[in-house]
Amino acid sequence: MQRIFLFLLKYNGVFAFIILQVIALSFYFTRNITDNKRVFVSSANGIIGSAYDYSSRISRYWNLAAVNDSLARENAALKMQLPSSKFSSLVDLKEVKDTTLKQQYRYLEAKVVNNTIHRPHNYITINRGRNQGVKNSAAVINAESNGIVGIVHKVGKNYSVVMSLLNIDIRVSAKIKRNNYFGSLLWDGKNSSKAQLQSLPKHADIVVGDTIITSGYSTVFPEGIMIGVVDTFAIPSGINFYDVKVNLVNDMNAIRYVYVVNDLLKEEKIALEEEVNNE
Amino acid sequence: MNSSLIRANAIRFILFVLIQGFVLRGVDMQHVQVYLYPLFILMLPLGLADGLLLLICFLFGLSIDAFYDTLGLHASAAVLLGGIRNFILAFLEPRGGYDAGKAVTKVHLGTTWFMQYSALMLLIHSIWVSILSHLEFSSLTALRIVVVFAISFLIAILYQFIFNPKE
Repeated sequence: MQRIFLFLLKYNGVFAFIILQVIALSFYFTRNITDNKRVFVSSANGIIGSAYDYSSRISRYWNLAAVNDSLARENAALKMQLPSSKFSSLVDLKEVKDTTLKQQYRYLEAKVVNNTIHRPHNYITINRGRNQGVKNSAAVINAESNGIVGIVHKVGKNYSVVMSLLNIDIRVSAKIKRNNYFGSLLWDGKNSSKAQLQSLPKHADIVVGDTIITSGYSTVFPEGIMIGVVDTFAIPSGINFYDVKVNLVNDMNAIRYVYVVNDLLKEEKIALEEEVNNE
Repeated sequence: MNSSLIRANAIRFILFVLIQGFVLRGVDMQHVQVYLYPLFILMLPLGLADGLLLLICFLFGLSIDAFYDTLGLHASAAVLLGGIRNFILAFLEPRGGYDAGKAVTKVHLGTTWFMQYSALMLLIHSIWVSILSHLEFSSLTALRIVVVFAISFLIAILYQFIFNPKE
């Protein structure tokens, strides 16, 4: 006790302590009062402000994944609002009701978690499944370029396997954008940037550079999804159809985000067409 | 007091402000902050004039405040640490006394001594900062103090063991 008392006597810093502590506390309790002098001791001053600017430029990269996820989700929500993803049920003008525009296509954003391009049967795995509303044989399109990617092949609880466009079993109904001649798109298993358009009749008008889009005749893809452009075409002897090579719009190796497109009116269309076929 | 000691403390001043301002400021879980900066005050050399010690603490605290945008909070905590330091040093004074002009480190004063010293100092720091920054005391504040103290104590001790600073 005596030692502490003696210590206090020679403690000339008592005054310094009181003064500095009072300054600090008065700073703290009046910190919300705007004062130009105070700005110097805050991150609003030039040195610390610009230092934080630099450090945020670096740390921004760590958040890119989360930012991408939220942007893709927002895009899916916006795409669903587009008129092209609605089905018009406006048949009789007298029947104008609130339900004139019915949702036909439901877009669901998904991230590619696995992808191959070097096999004859390539599949893509995406991180959306039954729980998120993915249905079998739904269309999958690229979120960045809007080109086609494939067709949902197997649906798990939270993941789905998509039959890639680069799969020799895939058949997509495709047409020339300019004049609506349609054929069947498939892949020969050789070049990952080219697909073949077959069953295009010999009288069709086609030039190199024509845009190939989905026809919308099948129940998988909505109409007008970009596939690619015509690279070369020829008519093999003895066949009445063109053999067209199409340069794909997507780099199938660089797909990160996709949209799964569920056609909500698919069952109806299939049932109806089956009924006709069975007659 | 030699020049290498001054240099070591100057480097520590800048380094701790930068680490606290750029790295540890990003850690904030339920208002639990990670504090490295009190360690600078803990390790200031013995035998500094009281006024000078407190002034260094004040300026150091203000530098931390500039990064945290909490004008005065850490300056107050740093001045408190600087003021209380001499009492705790007197309280823990070893039998042979202190060697003036040496940094307060594990090397010079031993592991057990340094743990007692940093525990007392950091406990006061955690209480002061937690209460002052929230201006209330509840069971949550108490929990927060315990967690903040545990983390900064761990950092202080680890720092001694990893870098084993002599000055």
